[in-house]
Amino acid sequence: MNKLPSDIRNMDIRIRKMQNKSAAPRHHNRSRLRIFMEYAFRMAAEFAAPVVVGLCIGYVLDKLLGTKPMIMLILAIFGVAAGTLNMYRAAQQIDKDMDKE
Amino acid sequence: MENPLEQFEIKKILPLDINGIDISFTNSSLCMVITVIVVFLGLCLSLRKRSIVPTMGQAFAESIYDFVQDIIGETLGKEGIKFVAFVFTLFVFVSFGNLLGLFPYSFTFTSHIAAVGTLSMFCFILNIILGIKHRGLSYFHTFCPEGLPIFMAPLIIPVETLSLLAKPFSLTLRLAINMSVGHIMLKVLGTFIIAMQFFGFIPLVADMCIIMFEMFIALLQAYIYTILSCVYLSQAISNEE
Repeated sequence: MNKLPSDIRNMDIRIRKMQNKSAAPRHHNRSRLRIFMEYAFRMAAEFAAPVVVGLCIGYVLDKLLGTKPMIMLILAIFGVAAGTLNMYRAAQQIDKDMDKE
Repeated sequence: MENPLEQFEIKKILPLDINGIDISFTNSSLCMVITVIVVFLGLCLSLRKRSIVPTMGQAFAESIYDFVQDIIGETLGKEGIKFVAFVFTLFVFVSFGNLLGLFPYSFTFTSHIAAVGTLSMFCFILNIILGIKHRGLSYFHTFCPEGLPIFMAPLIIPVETLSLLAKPFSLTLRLAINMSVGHIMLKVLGTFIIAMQFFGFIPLVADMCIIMFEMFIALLQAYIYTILSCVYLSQAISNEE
């Protein structure tokens, strides 16, 4: 390394700097519209999906076990809880993202 | 008035049946193949002459790549570099599928839960494999966090399981519903253009605006699908949850 001419060594330092820079998160590149649209679409689905998944699994289990509609109702309630939890976690992450910017 | 849901009908082009399993080549499969060919040829042609000062085609391809790399940098950080190929494929396939679906006589395969669901399942399986690989058995603490009182377990385990299972479903639901709704709206307004005769120009203008909006939504939904897949991957890798 010491035998290298100084301009090549400088170039090596500059390349390393650029590499570190490109690996670091670049939040400033995201436009605000993009971020808000992403969050808006995300929140709705985060809540709805577990409820639907709970209902579907419950429906299938009820059909198999002949317990209509007990499991479906129980899993729907768990689905609402999971949806709320997912939304809370998403909101926490959004908060963290906002702080980073 | 024509049925606005008719456009989502799956039609068999090449009927195939193996042991009672229907694996026919349908209009949906055809559109997927066309999407792959368009993307493949587009990228091959634009990157044919690779130069330091890029041509317009090369700059376009590179900007898509940069965009995907940015998404990965934001969500997965340095560790995510190895997933660039996977995420790039995901983004390009979904965005071109959405955009090609806007052409007349085309078919939007991204409006079908079966097609998008299969893609999401890939992400989901990768999610679980990576989670177990990075965190070992502590990955299962996702379902039952450490220090949880034993009497709370019957409540928390189903909630956490549903919350995990919902991830691929929420990805699928968001994309499929957004694509279907836009296309239904276009078709309904299209029928109004003929039905309203002289005043047909009013829905025509609205239809034109919606097509522009749909193009924006097509790209936005592909972006959201990609970034959320990355977010879920990062959640599987990180030890926070």
